[in-house]
This record gives sequence, structure tokens and C-alpha cells, in this order.
Amino acid sequence: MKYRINKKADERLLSFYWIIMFVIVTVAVVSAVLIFVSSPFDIRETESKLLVDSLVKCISENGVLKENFVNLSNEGLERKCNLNLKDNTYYGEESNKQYFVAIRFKEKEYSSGNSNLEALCEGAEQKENIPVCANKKIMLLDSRGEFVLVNLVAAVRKTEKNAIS
Amino acid sequence: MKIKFDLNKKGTFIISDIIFLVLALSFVAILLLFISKQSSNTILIEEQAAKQIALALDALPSKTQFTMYVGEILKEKDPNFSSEVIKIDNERNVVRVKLSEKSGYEYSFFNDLFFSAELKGDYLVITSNEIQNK
Repeated sequence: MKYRINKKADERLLSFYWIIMFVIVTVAVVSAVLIFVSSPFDIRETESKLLVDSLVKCISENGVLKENFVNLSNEGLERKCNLNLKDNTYYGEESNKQYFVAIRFKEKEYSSGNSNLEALCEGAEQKENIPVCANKKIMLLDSRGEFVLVNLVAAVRKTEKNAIS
Repeated sequence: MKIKFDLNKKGTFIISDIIFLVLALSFVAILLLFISKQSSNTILIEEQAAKQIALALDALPSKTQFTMYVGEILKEKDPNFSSEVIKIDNERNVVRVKLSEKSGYEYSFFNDLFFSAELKGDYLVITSNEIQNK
């Protein structure tokens, strides 16, 4: 049995497949690049760790708890630790809701910022649209030479600038 | 063993192959151009720079000088834009990077020290000072 091979039709079919391949590759590359470019850099993890570190420097000196911390007001915490927890890139009330810090020891608590953020930190798995938190527990010596367990918490929201594109 | 070449045989000029090759090469070139254009996007560079500087400021202790290479950022500046590219606003605790008239990105920092920034060639020199009752 003889077949007459239609060479021209073959070539046309092949070029059709090539065009489809080009389109698929273009769509894949362009969408991958656009997704990568449009998603903002998320620096909240580093920011929250730096915030906790600044709390550590603020409450201790050479492993000893600074005594002038006792009876400090929450407003005083920001001033004492050289912190400004107001994000002026946000407007109105939102500017005061982007950070939260807390220092807990000997049943005392000093905190500042948006306290609602801490509840969101306790989620099982952190998602992109909720704040990023850092937690540190350290042992410090008090004035009587006794060890004090200090729990430090920092939370950074700034979702619009770091997670939502 | 001798191989005989028939030099008189006419070669077939496959014009469709050449067109296909040119199309394929131009397709790859356009894709590469698109990727490089996107990666050197002004908005992207401004965001990256502002966040890097904000993190550096957050980590800076008082009375410290910090030098940062910003040559890559300055290279992307619009030649017609004459204003300050990197500005640290101590009043608002915000870093602003602006490479052209139409663009710009701001990011806040929480360190409440007083910072002064100066461009020295391709380097940004940031000095942290004691708080000056802002």
C-alpha cells in the first residue's frame, strides 16, 4: 500500500505547534516575572528581630536588668528605648497600629503600640496577611543578684508595604 | 574510499527555515529584554533601597557612622531629576528614595535617634546622633 506524503501540510502543522509553544513560553515567562516583580520585599521578620534586639539593649546592661525600668509608663517605654512606633507612611489612626512591643518580667508588663497584633502572632502558622512577630526569652540578673526571666515580644504589621502587592 | 560530491547539484534555499530562525531569535531577544527591563524597574529599585536603608537605621546604635554603597541606585536616577535621591526625614522617621519626578518610595524606621545622611560619591554616609528632642 502506498501513501503519498504531503510534505507541505506536515510543515504547516509543525509551525502551528511552534506558535503554540512560543505562546506558552511567553505567557509562562511574562507571568513569572510579573509575579516576582509585583510582590514587595518582605522585611518584617528582620524588622521585628531588630525591634526585639533594641528592647534587649534597652532593658539590660552587661546581663543585668536596668533598675530604672521599674514603674515605667507605656509611653515612657518608647522614649526610654529610643523607639518611635508611629509609622508616618500610613494615614490617620492607621499610623499608630503598625507596631507592638512588650516586655514582661516578675508579673509586670510594659507594652506599647497596637496590642491587637499580639493575638494574631499566636496563630499556628504565620500567613502573609498577618503581622510578623519575634519573641525572645532572656535571663537577666536583678539588683539582688537573682535571675529574672524576661519575655520580649515585638510585632510588625505593615502588611500593605510588605505582603500585599 | 572516495567520496564523490556532486557540485553541480542545486541547493535548496529553505526560506521558511530562515524566517523561523529569525523569528525564534527575535522572540528570545524580546523576552530577555523584557526580563532585564523589569529587573531594572525604577519602582523596584526605590523600594529595595528604601527598605535596606530603613533596616540599617533601625540597627544603628547612637554615635555611629555607617557607610553604604549606593552607586547602583544612583545609576538608575533620571538625569532630568535634580532633587535629593535619598532623604532621611527625622521628623517623620521615614526614609524616602526618589529616582525620578514621577516615582518615589517611603518606608518608616522605628529607631528614634537623629540621623544625618550625606552622599559622598557613590557612598551614603549615615551618622546617628543622640536624640535631639524631636
